[in-house]
Amino acid sequence: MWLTQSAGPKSLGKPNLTIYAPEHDPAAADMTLPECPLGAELLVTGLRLPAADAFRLNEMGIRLGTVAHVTQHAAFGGRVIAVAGSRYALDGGTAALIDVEPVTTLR
Amino acid sequence: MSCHGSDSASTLVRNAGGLPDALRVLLVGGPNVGKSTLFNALTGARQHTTNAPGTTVELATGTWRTAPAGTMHSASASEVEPGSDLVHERMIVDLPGSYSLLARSSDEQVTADAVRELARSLGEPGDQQGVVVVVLDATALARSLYLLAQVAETGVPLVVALTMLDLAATATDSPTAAMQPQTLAAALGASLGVPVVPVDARNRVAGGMSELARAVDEIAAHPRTVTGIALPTSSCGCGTADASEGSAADRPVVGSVAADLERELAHAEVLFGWVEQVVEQVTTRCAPEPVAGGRAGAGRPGHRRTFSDRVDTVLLNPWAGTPVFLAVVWLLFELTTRFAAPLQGFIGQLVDGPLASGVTWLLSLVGLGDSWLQGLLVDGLLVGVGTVLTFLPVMAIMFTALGVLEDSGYLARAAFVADRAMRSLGLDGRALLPLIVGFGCNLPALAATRILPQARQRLLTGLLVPLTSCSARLTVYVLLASAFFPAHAGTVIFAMYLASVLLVLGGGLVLRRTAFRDVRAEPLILVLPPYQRPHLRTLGMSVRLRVGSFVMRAGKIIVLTMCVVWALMAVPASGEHAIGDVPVADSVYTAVASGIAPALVPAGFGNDHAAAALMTGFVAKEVVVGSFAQSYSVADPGDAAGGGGLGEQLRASFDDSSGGHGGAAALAFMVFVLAYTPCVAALAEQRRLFGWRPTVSALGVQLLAAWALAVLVFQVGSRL
Repeated sequence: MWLTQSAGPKSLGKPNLTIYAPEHDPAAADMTLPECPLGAELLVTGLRLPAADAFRLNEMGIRLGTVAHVTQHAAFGGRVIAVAGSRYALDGGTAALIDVEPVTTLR
Repeated sequence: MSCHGSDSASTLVRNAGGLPDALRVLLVGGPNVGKSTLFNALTGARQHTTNAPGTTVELATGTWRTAPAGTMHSASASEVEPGSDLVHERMIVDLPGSYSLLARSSDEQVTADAVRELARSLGEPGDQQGVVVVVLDATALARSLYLLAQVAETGVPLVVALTMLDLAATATDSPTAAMQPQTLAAALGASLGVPVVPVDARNRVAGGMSELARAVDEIAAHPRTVTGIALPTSSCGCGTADASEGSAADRPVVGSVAADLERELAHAEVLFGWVEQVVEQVTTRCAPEPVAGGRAGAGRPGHRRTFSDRVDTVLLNPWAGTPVFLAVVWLLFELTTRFAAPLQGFIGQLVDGPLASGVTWLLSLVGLGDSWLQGLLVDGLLVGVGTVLTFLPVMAIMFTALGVLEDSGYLARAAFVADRAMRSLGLDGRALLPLIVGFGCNLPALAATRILPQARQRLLTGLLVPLTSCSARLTVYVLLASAFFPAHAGTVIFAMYLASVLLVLGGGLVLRRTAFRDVRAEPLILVLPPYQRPHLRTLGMSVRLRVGSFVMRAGKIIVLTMCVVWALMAVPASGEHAIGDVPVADSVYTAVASGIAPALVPAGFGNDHAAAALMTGFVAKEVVVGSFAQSYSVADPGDAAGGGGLGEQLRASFDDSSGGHGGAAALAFMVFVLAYTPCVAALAEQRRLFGWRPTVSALGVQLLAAWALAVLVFQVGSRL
């Protein structure tokens, strides 16, 4: 697990931390969650959220390496994703800070 | 936060339930895992709600009564008569839903503190026994197991209750998809080393309640916790086998996560690893062939669209989602106003008519007719009781509707759809629902704040609800707008509703920058439960308990206030009158109004009539018009625009007190009515939900804000 300082604008008074997997290639052109089409299978590769929020995502089951499916596009960039049978609703701002890769590119 | 937990947690764990020698049972689990349904099934009516000591977090505590082990045959044993030698009573607390013991809200803090306190107190000589029942959602095993691991780290004896098995059995894309309940429970039990009881709280006979009771008693007699989790080395749970890590309950909570994220993540990774190991063991034990995969989310069946997914394509659609949400809110609005009105009218007539006549007749039989006691009983006590009773249909309808929305799974979707609208106030999207309902009636709107997941958000929303212009205030607007602005009455009334919206937004922004700086617009990360058909018996029990709580806690304050108002009107301040036979003009009530009137001079309505009407409006806004009519001795208050009626007298009175700027004074009066306390019932409900301190503080702020705004409106308006 790597933790790096982020220059992201959404600090909300706390340091932004980007969490990447060790095998992550920073030069690779990741997608963000809102960019994924409906029904896409994806792999979570980065969480560019404020530290406490990223940690809560981890605790709820959305972690690096988590495989998810986009099940719904909602208003204002909101997304619903399926992870291990559960459905998670994420607002547009949060979804935009989650980096993903289509699973097919890893196989 | 010390490792010994807070005093409030200590009070909670030791005293809740009021059974000094009973086994303490804490129900712990994530949101929407069926924890409260299980609690209701275990306790029946033997429960009550209260705020956690020192907080506004609502908790349910109760008595879990069964026949002792070996004699239990069914859940009906829980209905053994109290006092019987066969009865085995446990004190049970339904703790707030929590994803983690690393708390991020006051609700989660209560849960973390209670578990920590139980772990600590178990080591004390002579202390009570205690067991934690961790409720696991079979459809989201990994997420539930993480919380279980944190609880297990504290070293408390624990039992697992496995819920949502019916949904897990029909699921298509979870690791536990299509597993049989008993098989899954046995596999989990083998991995965890503690009893795992499959439960269906909606089935009290064969739903696993007796098995759960036996498991709890067994663990209490022979304490043990989950295998494979590092346990604390000291009795207070302040140390761990591996000092470099430490349990979640030992570590500090809110605010510290960011400070030591790497350490927390490292420890969480250990727990995640354990969770994945358990999930893999369970799937291996239950499936014919082992399912490969090490990462979360991997190693599960392929994704298939579920029924809930298909429904969500409509309800969460970017274009259809918001109209559907607004339609649901509109339906709630209609149910609590238009639909409830005939029921309220019927109850009101029953109390004012036959019941009042009956009491009067009985008193006259014993020679107390036309006495002050009759006045107190009929015009004070009975009016108070009548007020409480007329609100019962509204509250029952609101609680039922909210229960249906919550149990069906739509409420979580509503939070998602309305999230954007409430984000600027730092509130959950669900806050929009009570705020809109408040435009019908503030009382059910306050009750509806319970749908918000965090206590601070509930309190903030509860302070904003009184600023929504309820329909009772409309009667005042119509009277004054018709009297002072007959050609533009509609525009003036519309402006008052606009002012109400601005007050809510302005009040919310001010509160967020002052008393609620800790409430921030957090990222929305919401678990959407599958859609389900609400269970009628469970729903009925929940509604009955909540309505009962309203009657017992808010009702007492309403009745008491009505008696005080009667006393003010019954006691003479001038003239030769007997108590209970006093013209309003000579009563203490009017004397108090005369004392208040000078304070209203800067707002342009510093006259006794307006002051008395505002005092009456504190009881209920519906009676402001009646108060005006009474003080001006007008028979038909509806004829506000007509000459010689209430309208003319109002114009004359307001013109006189405002130096000829009656229109500005009337506007200021309407703004005052909008901004100050809606009614005594709403005040009592605030007290029930949030306690005395926030209620009294809010009352003071509302009165000050109403006065300041009214003065501003009059001073500006009179100069235009």
